[in-house]
Amino acid sequence: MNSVLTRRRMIGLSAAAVLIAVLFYGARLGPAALANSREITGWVLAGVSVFLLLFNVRKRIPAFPVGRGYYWLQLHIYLGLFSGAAFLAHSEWRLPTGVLDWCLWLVFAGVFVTGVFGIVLSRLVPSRLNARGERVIYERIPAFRTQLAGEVEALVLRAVQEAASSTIAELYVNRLLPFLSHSRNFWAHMLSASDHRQALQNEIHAVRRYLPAEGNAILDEIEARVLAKDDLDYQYTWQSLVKGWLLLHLPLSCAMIPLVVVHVVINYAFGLGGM
Amino acid sequence: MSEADIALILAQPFFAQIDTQAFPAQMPLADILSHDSRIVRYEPGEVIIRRGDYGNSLFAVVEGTVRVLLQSPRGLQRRAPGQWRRWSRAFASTFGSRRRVENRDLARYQIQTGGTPRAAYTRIRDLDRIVAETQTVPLGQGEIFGEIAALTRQARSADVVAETPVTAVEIRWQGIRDIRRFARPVRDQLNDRYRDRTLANTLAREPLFAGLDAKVIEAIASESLIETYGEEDWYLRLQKLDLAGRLEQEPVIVAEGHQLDDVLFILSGFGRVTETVERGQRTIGYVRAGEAHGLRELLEDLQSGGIGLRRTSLRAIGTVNVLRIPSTLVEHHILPTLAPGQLRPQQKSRAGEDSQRRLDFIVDGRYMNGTATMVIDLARCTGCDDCVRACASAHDNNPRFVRHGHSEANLMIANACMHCVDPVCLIGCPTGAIRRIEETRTVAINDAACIGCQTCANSCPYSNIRMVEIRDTAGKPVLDADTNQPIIKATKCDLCFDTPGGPSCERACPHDALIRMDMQDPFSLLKWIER
Repeated sequence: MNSVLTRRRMIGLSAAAVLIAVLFYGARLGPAALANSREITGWVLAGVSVFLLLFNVRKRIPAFPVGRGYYWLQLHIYLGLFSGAAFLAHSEWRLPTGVLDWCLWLVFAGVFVTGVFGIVLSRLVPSRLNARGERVIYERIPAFRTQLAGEVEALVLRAVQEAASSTIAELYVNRLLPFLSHSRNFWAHMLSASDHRQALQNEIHAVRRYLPAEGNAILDEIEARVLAKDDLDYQYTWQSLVKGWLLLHLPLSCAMIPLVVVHVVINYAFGLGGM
Repeated sequence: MSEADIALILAQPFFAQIDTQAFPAQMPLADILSHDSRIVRYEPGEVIIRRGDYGNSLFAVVEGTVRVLLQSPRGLQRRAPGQWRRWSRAFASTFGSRRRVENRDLARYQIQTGGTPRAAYTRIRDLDRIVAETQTVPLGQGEIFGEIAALTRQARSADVVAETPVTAVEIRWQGIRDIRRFARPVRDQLNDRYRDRTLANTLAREPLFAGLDAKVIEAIASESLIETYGEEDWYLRLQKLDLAGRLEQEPVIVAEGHQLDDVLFILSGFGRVTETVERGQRTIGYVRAGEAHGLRELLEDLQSGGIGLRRTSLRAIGTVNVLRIPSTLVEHHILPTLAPGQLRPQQKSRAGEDSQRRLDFIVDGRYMNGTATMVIDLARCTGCDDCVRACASAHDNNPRFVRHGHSEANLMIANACMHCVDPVCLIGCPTGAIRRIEETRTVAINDAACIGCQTCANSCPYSNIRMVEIRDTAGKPVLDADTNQPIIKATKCDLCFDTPGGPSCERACPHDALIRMDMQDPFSLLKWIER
């Protein structure tokens, strides 16, 4: 796992490279063999696309012995890369001309790009999730956030009653309440930046000089919860990415099916050769 | 229990031998019997004990005759579902309603629960034929049975059926434990019975004794000591135990530096193997039922000439039953038959900083109990929840585990049933709904027999059993007719034993981050983590 180029990955990439080479060689040989290379690459691309879609079918039938999800994903990744090359071969490195073909082109590009994004994400996310705070179940994050907000509110009330301090209450109303009420700093967490965290801590520390000893003890507890909330936001950001990217990849993949069907029908109806 | 009942029990031969004066004033024998025993009656043909159940009680026959069936009749056998049922279950879970959660066909329950309470007893109608055709053992007044499973927490090894109208005393294990503690003759008698009835057969099934003939095994059984260490109800207190102090609380079975004059064979439970590092103890491994401690040390000593001192200590984790086999017997009979590589290499030979922490984590959390522990590699897990969805899809649209749990570095033990070696959840199930399927070693719940008493959920030391409110096929909550409260059922991971593919969670993981692992060998876990 430490090396980027593991043995398995090398085998997968090599196999994809060989397939791509065969495809391009076949496409070049097509006219010489009196075959339509576009038709060949088109059907290869359609076949591969159908297989890629079967990964989602595999996920929906977990009770059947149809192979481990891991091997399906590996095939999905490498055939996905191959499909990118097949797409280029099929389009002969040219941009489309008609509306339908433009739609198909854009949708395929969207599927491919989101797919690559998914690969990168799956490599990045585990280490990111382990980097800060405890791994929390995504659906439970709002409940934990609410719990932390409630605890901070109780501490602020305690500060007002026990330490007779309104400074903490002001800090809470002006700065902490907006921070605690929702998930914050999405982009900062995505970039693993910590400026906002430091700024928040600075603001908390800035009021210490005005507080009595009891107030400082309460502020310590508040600060711990604020940092915990920030960790929760961090977890939320990365887990949202994991959940969210599929909302792009999957609908685009499904949208491709009717477009491909129409594309095939039109091409056979009006003669092969034009894209 | 009335005073007359107590007097009846005390008049039985097994109890008559007990010196009541040996019991402390605050815990007299009569009180123990009053709290932990009852008088039960069975009609002819009714099944008292069923093979494969994890019983927690001993029976003494007061009146009548029972038959021990050494071969289970067809109707009593519990088998894993056949291929046809697995495939039909897979179709039903895949193509059934995906919107409804925890739906149950209530007609199934009505068949199960109809009639009088007596009708719920399993009954064998052609007992005479079975007695005539198969091997059985009659037990009459004054005889006891069921003590082995109750004491060693092994599955019941035979069916016991009432042959005539039977009155019996049933004592649960807490009562047996207390009686054994104060009445030495009872302890000796139970150990002797275990030795006579079961030990040789148990040993013959173990790989360590595979190369020995029956006479040698019997000699080993008769010349070895049976000992019990630790707390029998450890599982009720695991969550409350202080992690740092666990090692100190575990009783020492054998100590480092003592004479190596016997080898300890673990009959049930777990032991922690430690060695002294300055003034503390470092965990270097663990042993489970079927494994031996001291064997490697003895072999090394013999190879280097002469028997030496123990180089490691063994401590009881929970309750441990051990067989103390004299070194001379091991040297002459067992060692010559061992195949190369049969002895597990010592943990410390590979222990690095990380693997030591992982080992401590496994032993302190008592995760070595698992035969199918859900281990998640956090260096690969993206939290995509494909495992959770797969589990939900295979189980009434409600996952049977939580993808969360204790973790150490990149290793997480998720909250999923581990299908323990010592399945304490089976103790005390009043209907036998939770049971172990012998062929697959899977612990599963028979939903139709579950009455929602929560005994199993409360006993599980890892909090891996959950109670759910059930709904009918129309999606409406099912309410109890008397109390108007929702009916609840115990649910847990069943390793998808009734579907053709096996554990859906493991097969669904697209990142190879989840595995169901037998924790018998810590090396396999370390190897998987470091793959």
